[in-house]
Amino acid sequence: MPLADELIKHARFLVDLDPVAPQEVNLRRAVSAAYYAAFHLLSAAVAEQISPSVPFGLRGRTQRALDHGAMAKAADLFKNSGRPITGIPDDIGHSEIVSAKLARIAGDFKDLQQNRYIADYDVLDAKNVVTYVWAVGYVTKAEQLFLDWKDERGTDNAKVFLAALMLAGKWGK
Amino acid sequence: MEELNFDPAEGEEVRVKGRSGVFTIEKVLHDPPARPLNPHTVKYGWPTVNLVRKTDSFPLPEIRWDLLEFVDETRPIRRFLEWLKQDESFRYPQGITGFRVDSEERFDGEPQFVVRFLVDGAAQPTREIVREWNNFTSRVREQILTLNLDRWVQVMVQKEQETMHATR
Repeated sequence: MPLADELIKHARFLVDLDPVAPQEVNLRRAVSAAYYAAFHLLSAAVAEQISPSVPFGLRGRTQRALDHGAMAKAADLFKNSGRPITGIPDDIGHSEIVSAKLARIAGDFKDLQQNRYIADYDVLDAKNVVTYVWAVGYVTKAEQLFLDWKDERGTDNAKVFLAALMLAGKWGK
Repeated sequence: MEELNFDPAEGEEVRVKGRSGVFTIEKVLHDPPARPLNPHTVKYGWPTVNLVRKTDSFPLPEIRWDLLEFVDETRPIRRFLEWLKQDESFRYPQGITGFRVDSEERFDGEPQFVVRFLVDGAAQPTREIVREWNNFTSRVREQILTLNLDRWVQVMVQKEQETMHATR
């Protein structure tokens, strides 16, 4: 089973462990797993698009080369549903409008990343974010991202999205 | 459904170009005054407001709307969300009682707005309700992004006045 699939199942397992009296650690790990599930889903798709399957380690190395911050910035380009991709260079020759599903994938990926940071590092939690409602909300968002990606992944927009996740920061060259 | 507007409202806090301090809007004047007290501020015949400085009650009458800088940077989103409430298709899903908007930083230092739809938390939400909330927040985010704000908007659901329910 791909790592992304295992992680999304693990996220659901953790958030469903004790919903009535949840342990904070389970909620935090659930949100962290939900983000990494989305990250591995998309980064594996990037590697598959960019690298051949042989030699066998090439795709893994490609996946490792992805940068979380750069991916979030690239996701920003796809945030506006019903409009063309923001700032895409003309010479790429692609002017399709962003679908509602792809915009949601991009936006939820960015938000999952922010909440993964809260889950793993915001020990003080001054805003009382770390709750069952928060965790189950973001785990469910990640599950929806998997479903949306199934519908979206064959489109030309998805190909540009995957390329952007790795390369958008260098498209200005 | 009324048209969306971002007109000044009484009680809002503003700064004014060329004047120090924070002012409160005392009165909104939609029509340019017939006999202006301050011809400079109404020279284009624009609508004006009467202001009072918060610290010393210093009055500034008939200030054009375009000279106002609103103190609350979340204002456009709050106004937009209030307006959106009139739309039947954006009726709050079960459990949601209101919203809060904050200006915060992402972990990478980028500024962002965070819209928190508040839920009362008597019961644990079912999967179906969580899906409904997520669908609602995604649709709201999509709508807010049409405002072309200068930063990212995170829209989430949070329990109202929740203290830590999870245990360490």
